[in-house]
Amino acid sequence: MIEVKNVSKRYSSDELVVKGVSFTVKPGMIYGLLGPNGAGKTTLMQMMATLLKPTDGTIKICGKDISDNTLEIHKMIGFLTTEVKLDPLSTPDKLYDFFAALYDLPKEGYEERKYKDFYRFGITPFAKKRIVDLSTGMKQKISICISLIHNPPVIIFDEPTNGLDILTSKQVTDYLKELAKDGRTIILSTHIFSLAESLCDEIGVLVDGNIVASGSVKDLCELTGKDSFEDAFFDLYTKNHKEG
Amino acid sequence: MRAFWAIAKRAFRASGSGGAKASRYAFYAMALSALVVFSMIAAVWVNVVRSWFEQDSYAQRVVVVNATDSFKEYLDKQDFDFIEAVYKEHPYAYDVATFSSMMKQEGSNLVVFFDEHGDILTYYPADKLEHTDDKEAFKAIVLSGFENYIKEKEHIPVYKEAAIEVNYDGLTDPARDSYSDPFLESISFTLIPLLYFIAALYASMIKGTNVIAGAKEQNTFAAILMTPVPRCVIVMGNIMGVWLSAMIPAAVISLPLLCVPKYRAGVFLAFLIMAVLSVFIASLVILISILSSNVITAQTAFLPVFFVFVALCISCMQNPDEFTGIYEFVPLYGQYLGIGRALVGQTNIFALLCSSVVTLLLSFGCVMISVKLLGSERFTVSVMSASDREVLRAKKQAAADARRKTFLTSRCSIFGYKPKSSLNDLSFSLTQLFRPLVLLSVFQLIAMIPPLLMTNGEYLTNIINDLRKVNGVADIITSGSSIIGVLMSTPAFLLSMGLGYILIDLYYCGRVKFIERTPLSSGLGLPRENILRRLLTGAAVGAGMMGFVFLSLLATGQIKVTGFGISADALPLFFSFVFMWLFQGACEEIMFRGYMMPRVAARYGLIPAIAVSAILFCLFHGMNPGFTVLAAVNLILVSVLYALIAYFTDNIWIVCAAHTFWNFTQGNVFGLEVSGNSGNVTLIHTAAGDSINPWISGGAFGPEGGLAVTVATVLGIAIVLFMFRKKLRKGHTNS
Amino acid sequence: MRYAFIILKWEIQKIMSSWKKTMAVFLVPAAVMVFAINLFPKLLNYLTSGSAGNQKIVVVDAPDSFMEFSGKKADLYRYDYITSDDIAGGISEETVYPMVEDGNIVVLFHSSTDDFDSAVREKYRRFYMEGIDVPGGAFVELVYNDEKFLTETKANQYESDVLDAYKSYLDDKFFAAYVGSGTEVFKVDEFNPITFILDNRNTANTQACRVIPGILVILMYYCVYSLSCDMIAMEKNRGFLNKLVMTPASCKMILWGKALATNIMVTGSSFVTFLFLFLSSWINRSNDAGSLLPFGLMLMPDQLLYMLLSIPATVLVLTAFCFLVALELERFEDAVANMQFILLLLLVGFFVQMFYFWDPIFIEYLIPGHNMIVLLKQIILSEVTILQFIAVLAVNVPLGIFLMNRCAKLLEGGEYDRSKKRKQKILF
Repeated sequence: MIEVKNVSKRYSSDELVVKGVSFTVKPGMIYGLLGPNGAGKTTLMQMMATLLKPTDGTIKICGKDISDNTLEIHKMIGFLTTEVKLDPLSTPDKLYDFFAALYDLPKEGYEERKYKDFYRFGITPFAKKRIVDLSTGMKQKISICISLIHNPPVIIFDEPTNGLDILTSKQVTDYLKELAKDGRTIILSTHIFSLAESLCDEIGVLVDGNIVASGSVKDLCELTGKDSFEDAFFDLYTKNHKEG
Repeated sequence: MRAFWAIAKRAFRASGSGGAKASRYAFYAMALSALVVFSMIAAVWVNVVRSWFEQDSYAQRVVVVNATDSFKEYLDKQDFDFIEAVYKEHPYAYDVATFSSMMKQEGSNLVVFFDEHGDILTYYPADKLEHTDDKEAFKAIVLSGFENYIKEKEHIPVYKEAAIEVNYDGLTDPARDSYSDPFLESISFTLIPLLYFIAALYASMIKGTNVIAGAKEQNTFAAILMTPVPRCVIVMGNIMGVWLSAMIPAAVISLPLLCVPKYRAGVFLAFLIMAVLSVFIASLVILISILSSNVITAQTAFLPVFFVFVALCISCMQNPDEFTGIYEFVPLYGQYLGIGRALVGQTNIFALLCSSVVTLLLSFGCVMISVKLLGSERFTVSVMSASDREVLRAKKQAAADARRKTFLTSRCSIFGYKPKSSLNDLSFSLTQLFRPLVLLSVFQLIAMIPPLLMTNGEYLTNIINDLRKVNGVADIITSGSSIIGVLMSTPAFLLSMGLGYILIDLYYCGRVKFIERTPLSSGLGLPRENILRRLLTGAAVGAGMMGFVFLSLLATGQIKVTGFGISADALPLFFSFVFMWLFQGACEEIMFRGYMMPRVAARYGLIPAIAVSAILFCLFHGMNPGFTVLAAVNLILVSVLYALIAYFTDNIWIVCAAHTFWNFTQGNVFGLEVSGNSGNVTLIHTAAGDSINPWISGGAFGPEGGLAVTVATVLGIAIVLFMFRKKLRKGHTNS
Repeated sequence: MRYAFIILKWEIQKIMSSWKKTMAVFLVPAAVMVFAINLFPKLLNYLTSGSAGNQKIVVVDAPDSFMEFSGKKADLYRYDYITSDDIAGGISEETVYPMVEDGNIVVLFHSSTDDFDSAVREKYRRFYMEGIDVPGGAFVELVYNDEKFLTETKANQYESDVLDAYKSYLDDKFFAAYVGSGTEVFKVDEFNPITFILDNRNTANTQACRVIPGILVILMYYCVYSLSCDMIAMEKNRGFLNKLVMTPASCKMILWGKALATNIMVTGSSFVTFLFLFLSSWINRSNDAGSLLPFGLMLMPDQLLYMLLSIPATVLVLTAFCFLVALELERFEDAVANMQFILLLLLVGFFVQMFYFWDPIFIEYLIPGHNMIVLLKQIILSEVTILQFIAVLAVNVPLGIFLMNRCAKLLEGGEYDRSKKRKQKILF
């Protein structure tokens, strides 16, 4: 459950990057933020993940305001972005142990759980290898595995398939669907139409820091009167984007 | 707690350049440094062997100029086998060029010159340092012998036993306990604490900058921030890790100390002191690490801390006794002295406890600040995606460009000049200020060289004799102006000055035409049309104004005419002056009016442009002799007048000619001083009048320092403003 | 060739566009060096004597003649005048030691008779009137702290600076009374700026030859290092280098463009540094014993020419080396760590040079990087020969070109990006 109300963000005295955005994501739903580069997707995501503080407005996760209960919120969300990298000289095994300690995972059944998590993503053969020596896809998988180590009810995903090959991204999207079925709240940002179309239950189109339209793919198509989702998006974009 | 230890462990294990791969070229470099060491050792032997075969026997040829009879006598009598004297005659004492050619001719490395007082000057070639030693040897052996010879001849007795005797007496501390080992004691207060400090600082720096700043750099820090670990645990955990790694070198240093019986009792205490200190250092490093966004900036930021610590150590090191007392209670000093005292077994427990508590409190403060900082997003991690960052940067760039554009649409156009590119304010002002300064000083210095080299040493000798009287800044200015005065009477100097001005003119023209790619008419105000007419107008303006000044001076009795005409042999000098004034006027006008004014005006407007060019013009003449406040006002007024003429007529031909004729008529027609520099050949000879008043005539600076010129220029400005009143009004409405 | 020029222009623009970077390249090395050179003697002074400024001279029982004598006395030293009555417990080792403990020097005047001046006068009288040439009974005792090792040098310097002049002053004052006029019959180089400058050059250059070559080359390397980190290692990290390789410009031209840009910047920066040093030397009027760069550093035009020509050649080698390391290693940190190794080479040369008084042997001119230090030393000592200069050029330029070719090969073959291959291995 994520509630975003009138959230704005301004970086040091420049103009607003996010301008009064509001939306709600219910449990079991995958919400997609779609927008061009620089629309403010990442900033929004980071605000939800408590990494940035909103200049204005409130964000509630599972009914709790993120600015008051930062540490509790951390326990409830899994945040993942391709921008956040893993320590290159570490190994997946060590990283898992490290984050397990930080999330204070229970010690009983720990090894089993680790094995399961690694097995799910096919990390097991590389568990003892250094991160530098692994492929980008593998790094992303480890990254996902480690972000979701504590089974969070809310998952915030910034560009989940950025830089992944088709096979791996398929794996990731399948996993996300599975998680949604489990009743978790998932919010992801992307600029890939096919991904948004296939994965998201609801899509918010973000242009210049505003959500200009929100709804399922069908809703958006109806709203603009276009046949395909892609056309609908371009229509929304050209209507709302101001040059300069 | 679990999270704390996990972070501490991770920080402890964090590696900086550890695990780096080596390049084979780096090994070649290592091998080469080994070769360096080897070759230096070899060089020692080579030099030893070489010294066996060298024999030093040479006869020195010495050129003796204007030798006195007694010196010749002395040399004949002594008959040194290592000196071979060559006698020459030359009138000028400081004529280096002649002396060096003498030395070359004779194959000698020393010239000894006797001046008219019987004093001696020596010269030697500049190509080798060893000639200095040869000269000193000559002085010590031959000249001191010569002194005694003269004394003997004049029956002045020479004593050999010195009147006073100088003795040296090195003292050692009489209070030092002869039983205590001074060596062990002194290094326990110097080397050992320093080693401890440096080791702890270095280890902390390497670790501490890597853990948080390094994580930020690699974008791994956000993942840790996202975990439900409180910020203070993150900070403390990292400090713990850094502390642990700082304690390793401390332990390594402590171990060998255990082997020294004297120190054995205190080593453990010293180790504990280090533990306290390391907490402080670790928290400091972590604080810096949080403040920086990558390892390099963190390390750079830590370096000053490093130096401060080492400087503290060094300040303690010299005189530990001085730093006892209050210093022992102060953090850092307390630890430093504490270690030393612990090792020699004189611990002051109370002071130590006190300084430790203060140190720990300070560390606690650092931790608090760090935690606060981690709460602010600026120092946590701005994990904006690369594309977002690009967009933001592009926006900022666009805003900056827009701001810049306001400069490009020029505020005020002179000569129709339109700027093409824009520098920032600082570099713009610097180039405007320094370009004329550098150009003028370089070319004027260069212009001084040929006349100095061309003459027979007389000028150089005169100049150095002038310098001899120098005692202060005022003397430097007077002697400098007298040097210029001397040089002003040589056509060579004037010609080379004129040449220098031509070069400056060409530089500006070339710059505008080929680098700025602007036509000369708009870039420098030098249109091709009506050049002759404009020049004639300018000449009339300049000569007319100067004529007015001359007449008014004559009328008020400031000067009187003493004669007319110039002699035939002064003609070359006269024409040299004409040549120099021709280009000097043009050069100054191009610099201050033609180049500077339109560029400043485009940026800041017309009035600042006129003001800046006037003030700079005034400052550039400020070094001339006899400069007064009134002179400054006059120079500014003249400058404003020229600027207005240039602005209204859209060219600088007129002012070039006016400037030239102003100077020419002033210096070489009416025989007055030009901005403090006097001309030597004039058509009308003038002298100071009977009722002289420096307020009107301007004194040493010439009429330009007097009220007569003020009146003339104010009148000129009024006339110009009146003549161009229409344009003035139009200009106002335009802007 | 055109491409090399384009890259050169681009790189120089990049550096010049931000004034911070420009300062970092041009002024920081110079400022650091001048600062270090001026700070070091102060530090040494402090370490050896315990106070940062000039030490005091404590004069005990100064005779009237010494008080009247001025000379260079007050310019360089600070004085405390006391009498032996001020010292409680009389003059002995125990009472004088506290005075010299902090590096002060105590000058004790005493004589076999009551008065110092009259002892001197008596000596002259006996010599002139009775023809007996015996040592006068006047003594000057210079007391210094034996535990601080530079204080003896200081005392020596004080004697040559002040006491020697004082002796001739006494000659003039007392002996002249007998012989009628001044005892000095002529003056040597009383006012001779040219020889004055050359004399000072002798001291300055012999001091400077120990420090300047090493530091100059190390600073040169610092610039090369930071620039090539920026131009190759960073750009490789960001993938910008790959973009450049994809353009029609050949790898060789890209690298040469970058190398030339580095060369121009670094050569310029070295000149600025040298200019700063020159100025620093000429501003430093106190010819202190510990001063690293005393007044009067000077080079002749031909020596300057040697320097100007050999600097770019050396920069070329250093640049090529840095490029090579940066291209060979995949991680930025690795490259940075490995580039430190050549610093070792230069540091060894520098430190040995500081305490090394023999002529270098010929092999040293053949060690790239180090040869510049040696050549600079010879240049400053003005003992450089054209052969040495040619040797340095003949080693550095071809080696630089050779290394640059290796760089180009590395870049062309894509061999530098071995990480890619390994990734593929793991993926499939």
